[in-house]
Amino acid sequence: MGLVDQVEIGNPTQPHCATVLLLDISGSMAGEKIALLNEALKSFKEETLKDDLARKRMDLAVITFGGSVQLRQDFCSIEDFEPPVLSAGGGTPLGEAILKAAVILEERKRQYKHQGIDYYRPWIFLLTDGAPTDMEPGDITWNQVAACVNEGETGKKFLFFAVAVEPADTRTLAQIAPQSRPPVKLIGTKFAKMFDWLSKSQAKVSASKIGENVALENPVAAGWAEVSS
Amino acid sequence: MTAQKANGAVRSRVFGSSVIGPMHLHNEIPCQDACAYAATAANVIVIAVADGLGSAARSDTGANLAVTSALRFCMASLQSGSFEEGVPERIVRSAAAHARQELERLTQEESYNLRDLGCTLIVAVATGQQFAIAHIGDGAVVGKIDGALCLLSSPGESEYTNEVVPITSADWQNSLRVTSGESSVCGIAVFTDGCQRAAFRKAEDSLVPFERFFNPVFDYAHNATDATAGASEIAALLASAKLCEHSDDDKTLVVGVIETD
Repeated sequence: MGLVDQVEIGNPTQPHCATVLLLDISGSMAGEKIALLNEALKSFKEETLKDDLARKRMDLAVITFGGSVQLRQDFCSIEDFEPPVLSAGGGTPLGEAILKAAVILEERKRQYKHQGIDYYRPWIFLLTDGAPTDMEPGDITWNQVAACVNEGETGKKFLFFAVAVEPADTRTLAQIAPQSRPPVKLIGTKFAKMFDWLSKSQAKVSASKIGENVALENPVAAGWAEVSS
Repeated sequence: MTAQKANGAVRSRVFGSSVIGPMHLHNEIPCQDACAYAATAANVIVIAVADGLGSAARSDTGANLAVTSALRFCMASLQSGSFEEGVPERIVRSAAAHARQELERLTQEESYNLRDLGCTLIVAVATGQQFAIAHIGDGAVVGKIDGALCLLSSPGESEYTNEVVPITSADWQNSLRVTSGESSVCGIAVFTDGCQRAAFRKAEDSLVPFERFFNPVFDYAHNATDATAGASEIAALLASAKLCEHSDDDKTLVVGVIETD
């Protein structure tokens, strides 16, 4: 038996990339949109499972907002991820949802540190088709959310991606999204293509060195988004 | 390399390898790790290991020159055979300074900038009774003393960032860490950061040498009879999927054992 068969690895834990999907399931998402989103979540799992490193390193959580904010899936590997069957209804408590995402990410990072797990900069991936119903530009929640996203980006706590689904008000969304990464607009209902991009992007991050800047494929070039006007 | 006293009372053995990592292979960049080692006729083990900085254009050249000049310096200094207290420490400290001088000399002979030759450096000297290590940058040294694994020289402050102070830095002397001790070292392993995830387990914020990595390595070295075969075995380990899964960087591991019958 060679030496390679005898040794074991001291710190075999894969570095983690925590990702929070922040999904709008308010009343306006009902019908075709929510059905396609549910399908896209299933194929997202299948596509990500195909990538060896993303399979080991992605740590996924799902928060939905529609009427109320719910942690539908706490952090888990993509293997353990059970794509939820979402149904739409209620208002759009976007502000509360973003703040919750930031809170669970900080808690997850604290756990990583405690367990000696290295980690990539986490992602918040927001998908919304409406204007927030729990805040208005300039009010307390709004300022809190804008500061949270802004500080999260500039302080390198997380990467914030915002995707507007018709008929979302991209101008309002642009005021919350980080200036360095303005929101993009989903073309029609190309949820499947969007999640395919997300899966490929996570594969790229998983193959990178921690701290390294990863060049992601432009969502517009990838064919699922257009730049919001 | 193997040294044996005529009476057979003490034997020492040292071997190791530097192996290119998958990332450098993929990007067609040369291996930027280097190692040089020897055992003297008096069973003193000398190991020099360097990791060229990815950001330095000719760090492969720098790493090679640093280890060969440090080893040569140590071997020449050890010829006197004196091991009074503090001697190994002076030798490793001077060997690091000598390596730095040689890098400076190369910049005068060739048109290199000193920073293009940037690399880390670990110089270790171990006798059966004492050891000394001079260390700048990351990588680490683990010893086996009285049957227990000890972290003799740690990767330093820069573990979680990509910032490593190389020997080519203007401030190198302030970043040089020198460790020495009077202990009966029966095994010593010197390695670059590409091996760190394999070699250590993490306990809260500290690094603990991992027994199920080092014990097989030291056992193998104790039982090895041929240093060339030993170096190949280490190279196979470093190039294995098992290690590369955890680091795509270049990897160096040199292991020395001293046996007293």
